[in-house]
Parts: sequence; C-alpha cells; structure tokens
Amino acid sequence: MEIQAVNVGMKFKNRVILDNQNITFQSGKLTVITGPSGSGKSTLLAILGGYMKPTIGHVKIGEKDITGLKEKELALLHANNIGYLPQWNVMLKKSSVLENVILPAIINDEKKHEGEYLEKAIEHLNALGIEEQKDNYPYELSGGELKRASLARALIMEPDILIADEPTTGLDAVTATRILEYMADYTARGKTVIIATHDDKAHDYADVIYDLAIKNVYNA
Amino acid sequence: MIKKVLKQLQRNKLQSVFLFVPVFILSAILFGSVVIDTGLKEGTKNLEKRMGADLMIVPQGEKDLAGSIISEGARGTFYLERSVYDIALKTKGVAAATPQFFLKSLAADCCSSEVEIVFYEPKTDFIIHPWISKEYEKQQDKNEVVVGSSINEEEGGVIKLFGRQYKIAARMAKTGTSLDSSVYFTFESMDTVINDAINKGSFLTKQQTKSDIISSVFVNVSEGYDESEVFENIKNNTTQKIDVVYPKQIEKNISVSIDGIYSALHMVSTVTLVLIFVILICVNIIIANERKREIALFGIVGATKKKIINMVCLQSLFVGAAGGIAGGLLGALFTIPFGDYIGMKLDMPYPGPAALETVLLLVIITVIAAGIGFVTSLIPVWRLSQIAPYTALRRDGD
Repeated sequence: MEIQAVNVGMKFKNRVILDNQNITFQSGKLTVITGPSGSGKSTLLAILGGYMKPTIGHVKIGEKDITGLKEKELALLHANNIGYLPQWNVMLKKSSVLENVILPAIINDEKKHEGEYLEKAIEHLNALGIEEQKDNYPYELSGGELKRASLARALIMEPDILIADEPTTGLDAVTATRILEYMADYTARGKTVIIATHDDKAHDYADVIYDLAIKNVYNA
Repeated sequence: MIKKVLKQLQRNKLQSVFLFVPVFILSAILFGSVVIDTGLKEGTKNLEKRMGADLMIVPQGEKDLAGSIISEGARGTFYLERSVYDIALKTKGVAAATPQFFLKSLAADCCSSEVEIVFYEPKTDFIIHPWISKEYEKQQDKNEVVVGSSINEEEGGVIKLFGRQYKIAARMAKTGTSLDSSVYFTFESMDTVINDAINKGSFLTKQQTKSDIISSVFVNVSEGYDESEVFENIKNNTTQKIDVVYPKQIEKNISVSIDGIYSALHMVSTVTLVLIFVILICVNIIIANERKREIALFGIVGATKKKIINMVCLQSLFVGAAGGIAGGLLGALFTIPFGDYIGMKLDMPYPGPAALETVLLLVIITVIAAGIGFVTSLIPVWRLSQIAPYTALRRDGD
C-alpha cells in the first residue's frame, strides 16, 4: 500500500518542527529516513501513521487522504493497516510478553481468532529469538528483547505499512541486524516499511534512503 | 470487554485498592446514615400513630414516668382508681376514653429480661388495636395474649407467663421502643395473671392486687374542646389526685430532637460525599497519569477514544460497585443488628429497616457507588484521551 506525504509540515508555537515534505513510500520497498537529531524524523513518522495531524499538507494512504479522517476510521486504519514501532519501549507492565504482542488483537476484539493470533505471536517471537521470554513480564526483558517484542506486536495484525522509529538505537550489532533483517523480510512480502534511524547499518537493508534535511531521495 | 476490564483490575490490584477504599468508606457511611435516618423517621411516624390520644391521665407525680413509658417504652407501674375512667367518660368534651393497667413483671419464661404487661379494654380501646396486625380481626379472649414485636414465641405459638401458657393471638407491629417487648392482655385476664404472679412468689403491692384499679386513662377530646380545659373538668369531678400527659406534645419534642439528629446525619453524609468525591478524582488523576503511556498504547494499536474511556471507566465502575456492596454490607452490619442499641443511645424510637428495604437500599447504594466510581474516572480519562497517542507515548524529556 502506497503512502504519500504531500507538502507536509509541522509548526509548534511558531517553531518549524518539520519543513514541507513531499515523498511517496512504495509497497514492497523499505525506506530509511535519515537526518540529524531534531530534523523531524519522528514527527514525520507520526504524521505518516496518522498519529499526529500536520499543520499543513496532507497524507494519502492508497487513494485515501487520512489527514481528515474521522477518529473511528483512523482507529480502524491503525488496527488493520498500520503497524507502529515507537522509539520508546512501551509495554503493559502487568501483562506477559505474549499478551503484549497480541494486544492489538485483544483491543480490536479479535477474540474469536485469539488462538490464531497467539500462534502468530509465537511465530514472530520465535523468528526474533525471544520465544522463551513469552511468559515473562516486560521488566524481566532487556532493551533489545523489548524492542523485538514491540516489533512482534507491530506486526501481529499483518499491517500493510510498518513504521519504525529508531528501531536499532541502543542495541548491540547482532540484535540490530536481526531486527533489520526481519523488517527486510517483511518488506519482501509486498509491504511498505518506513524506518527513521541514525544507524548506518540500516542503509544496507534499504531500498530507498530519504535525507530529510536536504529532502533528497536515493535509491539504495 | 467486561472480561478484559476484570483482567485489568486483577492485575492492577494496588490501583483497585486505592479506588475501592474511599468508595467502601463512603458507602458504609451513606448506608448507615440512611438506615438511621429512615429508622428514626419511621420511629417518629410510629410514635405519632401510637400517640393516638389527646390526653393520658395518670396519678399525680407520675407525669414524667408516664411520658417515658410513651416515648421511650420505659418500665413502670402506677395506679388510679377505676372511677377516674368512669368520670372521664361522663365528662363534657370527652369523645372517647379507654383505661389501661400496667404490671411490671419479673423476667418471664419467654424472655431474658423483664416484660411490661399491659391490660386493655378491647371494647373501648383505640390505642392498642391499631397496632395489632391486620390479619387478627377476632376478639382477644382471656387465654390469649398480644405480644410486642420482640417477644419470642415458643413452639406452637404460645408464651408462658408466671407458669401459665397463653396462646399468642397477634403480634404488634414494631414501634422501635422497648414497648416491643411488652405483652398485652384484656382486662378479662387480669385476675388470672395477678393470681399466678402471687402464686409464683412475685412481690405485688396491695394496690396491684385490687381489681378496681387501672394505671391510666387515655382520652380523645371532642372537636371544638380545649384539651387542658377537658382535663380540668375531669380533675374537678374526681377526688383522685391526677395529672395529665399530652402525648402529642411529647411527639413534638421528640421531633425537634430528631431534627437535630437528621441535620447532623445529613451534614456528615454530605461532607463525606464531597470529600470522597474529591479524593476519588485525585486518585483517578494519579492513576490516569500513571497509565498515560499504557492508554496511549491502546490508541496506537487502534482503540478509539470511546473504547479507551469505556475500558478505563468500566474498571472504576466495577470497583465502585464492589466498594458499594462491601460498604453497604459493613453499614448493615453496624446499623441493623445494633438497632435497639442505637435507639437506646439516641433515646429515640428506632424500629430499624425491614429486610426488603435493606436489600433495596443496598442496591441503591451500589448503583450510587458505581456511578461515583464511573463519573470520577471519566474526567481524567477523557482529558487524557484528548492527548495525541504519539505525544502521550513520549516520556517527559524525550
């Protein structure tokens, strides 16, 4: 599913957080967004996912302009079409890793298919190398394990678009590689994957690199 | 959704406890206040009905004791010659008159404490009969007794007094005074009861054994006549030294005292309600802030604001309802079994609530408590749901 930012910009109290951006993210491509700190990478990701409204411009997913969508339609989009991996590891503290991974299914009342989602969750955890942590609580996991659990959660509904904010920051090289490989595999299934990162290693897996500061698109 | 909410509550035990305790306290206080309030109101109403006479004529010097017998159900005996009743009947301005005789017994076989035995005249009575259960429409005979609501009957519906068994003909409605532990005979039974008492070794004065004595005369005054004037007329016509009690005046005095208790109860309930409401809002704000990122996460994965509000507020609703039930039960535990003690301490007629009223009140308190839980959580959660999930997800300083 194609996602397009059209003249997207963000201002906060007269301060420009994100300058006008025009870029299209294609299906089956992994796009890495780079740029110095404060250039607005996270803001752009939040806007692309519909988690934040731009002060100017709009975002189209497929043919649909999501900027003006009603809350309910947007929630549906988040439930079914967009997987978001935040920069911070946010988990339900009192729930196990497995329960955290299937949270989107629970929240969206996919009770009937809970068994199916549990299987899928275990597959993701297994592929990401943390299956044995499935019954543990988030506080028992390392940063890298939490990041992988968050990625599993972002992918559980098999969204068309995966948005990942700094997915490898603070992780060791092996874990970072594992995460990037998993995202590349997901892209190969015809999905749109967008990563914002400082990590040069991500360039190795990118189909497209977008430099936010100079608004340049490179084909990797 | 409900299963999800219950699971969350189970997991967030500490938060649930913080929400539960204030609602629990509030419900216990509300339940107790309402029970005492309605009990006192019912008691006053009963008293009003019981004061079914304009005048109560008693021997001189026994005014205070007679007043206590009416209002608090104190035990006591005093005697007049029956001629006072005959004179009262003939006095101008008297619409109706009926005599009563009080005999203070020792502990009866039926009861652990002493009972007051009251003899009345069924033909002229307008004091006792309105209190007898509606089912009993026959004439009470000499082997039958009407008992107060607290008197325990023996098997077969009988009661033993001074060694003799009497059939319980009817039971009085609860008055909330210690008159509930009195027994009522017609004058026909008086000789038998007194003889039995003497045979059982009860200490009776000469007066108590005389057959032409009564304790008091209850009088209703005809319309257009002044109560004190009628009493003066009776007093002037008899050689007996008599005094008068105005039962309705006693009731008025009690009503004034009860108004003070009502005000105190209402004030305590209102202050508690406001305080707990504020406390709950604060607790909910703290909990909502604590759960800020968790709530944001729900938004990120596709929950609508409505769903988030429902989920979080339902938790408070359930905790509120649980607090309401538990608090209500605690309130019931303190106010219902100790009803007589409360009445005694307040020096007021206090019948306490009926079983159905108690259940109904428990349901109402639970609904109120659940409502308070829901409403107090609505404000902070609604405020939080207005923040964009992405913004709420960030830690301060990120």
